[in-house]
Amino acid sequence: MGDSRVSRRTLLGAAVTTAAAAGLGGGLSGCVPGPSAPPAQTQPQIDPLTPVLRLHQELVKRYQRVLEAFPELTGALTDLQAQTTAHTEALLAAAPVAAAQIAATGSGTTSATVSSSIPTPAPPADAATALSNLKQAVDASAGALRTAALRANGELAALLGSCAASTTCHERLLTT
Amino acid sequence: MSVQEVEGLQAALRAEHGAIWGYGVVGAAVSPEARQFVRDLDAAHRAGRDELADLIRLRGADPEPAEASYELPFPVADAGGGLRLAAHLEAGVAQGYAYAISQADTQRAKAFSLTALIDAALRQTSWRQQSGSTPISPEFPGL
Repeated sequence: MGDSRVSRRTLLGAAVTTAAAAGLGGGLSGCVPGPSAPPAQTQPQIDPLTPVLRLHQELVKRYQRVLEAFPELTGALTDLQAQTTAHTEALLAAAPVAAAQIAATGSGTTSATVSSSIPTPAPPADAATALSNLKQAVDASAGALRTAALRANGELAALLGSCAASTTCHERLLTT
Repeated sequence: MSVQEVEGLQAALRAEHGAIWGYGVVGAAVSPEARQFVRDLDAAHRAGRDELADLIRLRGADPEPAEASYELPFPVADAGGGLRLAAHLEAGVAQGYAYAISQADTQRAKAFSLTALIDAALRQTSWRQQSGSTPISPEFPGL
């Protein structure tokens, strides 16, 4: 996966630079880097919205997997999946930095970060189990959107809040 | 806190005033079994109104009063009309709180408005479910 390689190379580059800077400074304990010292290279910052959007994207895929495995759930899930897709598209358009990071990293480090916050997808044994797992994933995404809405400002905060509200409704519909 | 934040809270307050008035019409239209639910929601909106008024006063402004009456968006002639009006009222409340979120610059105002937006969306969903509307849940509540 080319994107992962790029990501790893970036991290390795940062590590090498840090080690080199440490070597240069080894005999100069207590000194600050002078004007000729290489500039400190920082790891690229992950936008706070990137894992939130990734989680919602993965939720769309989870809906799809459940629908493919259990077509009898089409009536219950189609609208919810369509709305989740609409949320994702609107959020990607409203958060260009996160959108670019998602596009750049593919299933790389960002996905690894996100995957720890949702239950590991397993082939559902039956429709009830699939719905239960889906409900957990919906709940996790709604929570992430709520937190993000409180951290954001202006129209983006309102959009995140709206998506959080809609996703909370989905969670409720999957409960009843 | 800012002028914009107060403006957002006032917008949410106007929506709550409208909902409280509208639920009077809803209560008269829906079935007797649904009336307790309407009373509960009326109480919830009154609590929201009071909380908003406090938030506005804390910011040195006067809460806007309710209008004497409001115009119905459509005629409500039966229980079905009552259900549709209730969903419409909650959509309006969600709109007020979404605007309040967009204008908020304190965590208290934002957190209160977000919780209220989610509650309004859930109530809208409940009314739409009862009236048989699809999709049941709003795609972008408040926007």
